[in-house]
Amino acid sequence: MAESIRELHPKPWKQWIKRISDANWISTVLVVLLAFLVGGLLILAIGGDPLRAYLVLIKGSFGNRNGFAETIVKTCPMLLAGLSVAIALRTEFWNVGAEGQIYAGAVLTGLASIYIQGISAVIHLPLALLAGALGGGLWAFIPAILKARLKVNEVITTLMMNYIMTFIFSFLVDGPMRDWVSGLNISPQIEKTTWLPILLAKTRLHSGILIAILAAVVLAVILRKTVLGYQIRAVGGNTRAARFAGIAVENTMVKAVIISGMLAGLAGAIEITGVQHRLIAGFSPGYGFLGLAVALLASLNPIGVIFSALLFAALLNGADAMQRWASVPIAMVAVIQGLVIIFSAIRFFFNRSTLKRKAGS
Amino acid sequence: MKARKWVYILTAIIMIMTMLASCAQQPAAPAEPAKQADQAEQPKKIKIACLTGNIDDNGWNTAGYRGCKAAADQFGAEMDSNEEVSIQTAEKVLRDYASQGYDLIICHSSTSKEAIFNTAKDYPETKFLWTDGDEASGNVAVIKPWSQEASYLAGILAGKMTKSNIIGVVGGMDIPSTHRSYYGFEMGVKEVNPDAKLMVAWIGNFVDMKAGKEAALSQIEAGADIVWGNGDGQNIGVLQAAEEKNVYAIGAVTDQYNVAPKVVLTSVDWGFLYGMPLVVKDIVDGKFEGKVYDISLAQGADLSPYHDNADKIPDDVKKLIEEKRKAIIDGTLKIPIVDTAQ
Repeated sequence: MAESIRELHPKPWKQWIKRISDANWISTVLVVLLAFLVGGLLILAIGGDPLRAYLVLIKGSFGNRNGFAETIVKTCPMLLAGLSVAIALRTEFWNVGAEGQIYAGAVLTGLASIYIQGISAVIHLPLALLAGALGGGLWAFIPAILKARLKVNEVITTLMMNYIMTFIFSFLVDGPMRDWVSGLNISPQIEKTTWLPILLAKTRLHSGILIAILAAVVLAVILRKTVLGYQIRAVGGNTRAARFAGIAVENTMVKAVIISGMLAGLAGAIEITGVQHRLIAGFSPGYGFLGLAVALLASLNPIGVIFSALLFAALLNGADAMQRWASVPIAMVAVIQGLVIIFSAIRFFFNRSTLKRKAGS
Repeated sequence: MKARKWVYILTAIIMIMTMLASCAQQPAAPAEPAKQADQAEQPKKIKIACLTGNIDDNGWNTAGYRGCKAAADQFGAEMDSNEEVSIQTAEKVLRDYASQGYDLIICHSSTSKEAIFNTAKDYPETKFLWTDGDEASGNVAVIKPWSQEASYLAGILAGKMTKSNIIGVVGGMDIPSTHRSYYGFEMGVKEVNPDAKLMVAWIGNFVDMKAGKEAALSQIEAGADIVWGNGDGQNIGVLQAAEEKNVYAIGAVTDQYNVAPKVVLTSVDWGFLYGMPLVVKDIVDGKFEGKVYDISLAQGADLSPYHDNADKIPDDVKKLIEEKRKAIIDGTLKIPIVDTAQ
């Protein structure tokens, strides 16, 4: 109860320091440590050396210029997907459709950056990114309105709409948007004016990460400082109480889900303009689904999402190195990821049920 | 309050276990510097990275992997391989290897042009081998199999073996290497059997086995009694179709006898097994250049053995093929390289 009261009445600056040392933080670190501990025991069980494996993992993902760059490149879509899931889940909306929204965003970004030509990068790049956000937002709007008006379960609609969008995407790069010269089912290269600038020379580290971090900060500010943010937190804290307090619960949810879809769409836009420079089917290896894990680990806190996305990206990126230099199979990284997900899900539901119990009594 | 107490207890447990774990691991630590010292005594090994798709495909990727392996073994190089090269991931894998100081990165994927040149630009000291590519420059070398020569011999075989005078050809993508193969094949067929009709299908990619099989089946329906798979993944489907309908087939890229032993007479080998060691040899000798390495029939881009199907081929046909083969090797017979449609 104390937690939810504090959430409803943000205290002044000094309280932030207290907040950092709050149990929430510790529990997040605990979740990660526990996952690595159990993972380590499993590595021991299959005859590996856990410490060496973890050292190599860290070295692989941060140890050199390229590894670091690739980790950040992977962080970017996961951060945005994590934010996307987090903001929707704040209003009790389980958006398992971020993957589809990523592809929807990529489609509109592709249209804007391939077929609009000859305008300055200053206009073209933001336009391409906005198109992506728009695509994701539109795709998320459908399940949102279905839930708000007809109470259709969003888990089913968002999940199913992933398939619809990935197939639409495949159709597009196999037909109308296909680059026939290449002989592959990929789109033509996007205009150079929409390429995200590279931050670190001789790597693929592009400036999308700045946009993603900015999005996290903006989202945190929206949640803390705006009326919409207040409504979202109220709906998430206690839907019934929010309704009694006169908040348009459905309306708030739809708004949050549109923001959610826009963030996922932006992830797709940044992958296209920063990494692939073409529409390629399968460009997202499930970033949308990983977003759920990223958001849960961060307890739906936008700033926390930055770090949990970084962790998941480092895990993915270091996996290769771990297999090569510590002879621990790549699958082990999936196991550790799974453990992080399990532990954060346990904590999430534990927190929620205790909150609800406290609120109910 | 209760929850916080648990947090403390768990933290304590984890700290203790971490300490225990690190104590337990300590004895293992000294072994490592010794190992490094060992390595330092030996002369510097060349490090080769081999990037392919799934190497058990009995075709393109198997051929590439065997070539890398042969090159590494021949020159005592250290080799690492990655079988997950796809158009989405190639650049990441290339950059990983380049940043880890590999001397030669072999990217066995026609579709990875952008990924290779982007990476090669950022790692000018690293050498890249793109098989099979259409452009070499700076630190990117390319192997160009003269597949038209063995294809010409395969064409002679097909022209002689057909009874219905209809020959099916199922190509993957119409790119330079498959195009010159096709040209050589057609030339061989027409030379020994001007009446033979060629049915040609390009399925447009190198991965769709099913499309390859469908195309071959429809050619067989239409009367083809020998089919040739010209390219990569679709070949498996072509050979399977031939086996199902019990008509002769010819493979490509590598010896594909094992895919359908009953019907595969021979295969047009693209010679990666011999071409890749040539490039590594140049690196060892310090003569590597970003150029096109031509692999001719004489250098290994040859017709594969007939294996157990040798007695199904009349002796005079085998003799004719052997004569032409010798003529190509000693240079009296030249098969033109025709890379694009005219």
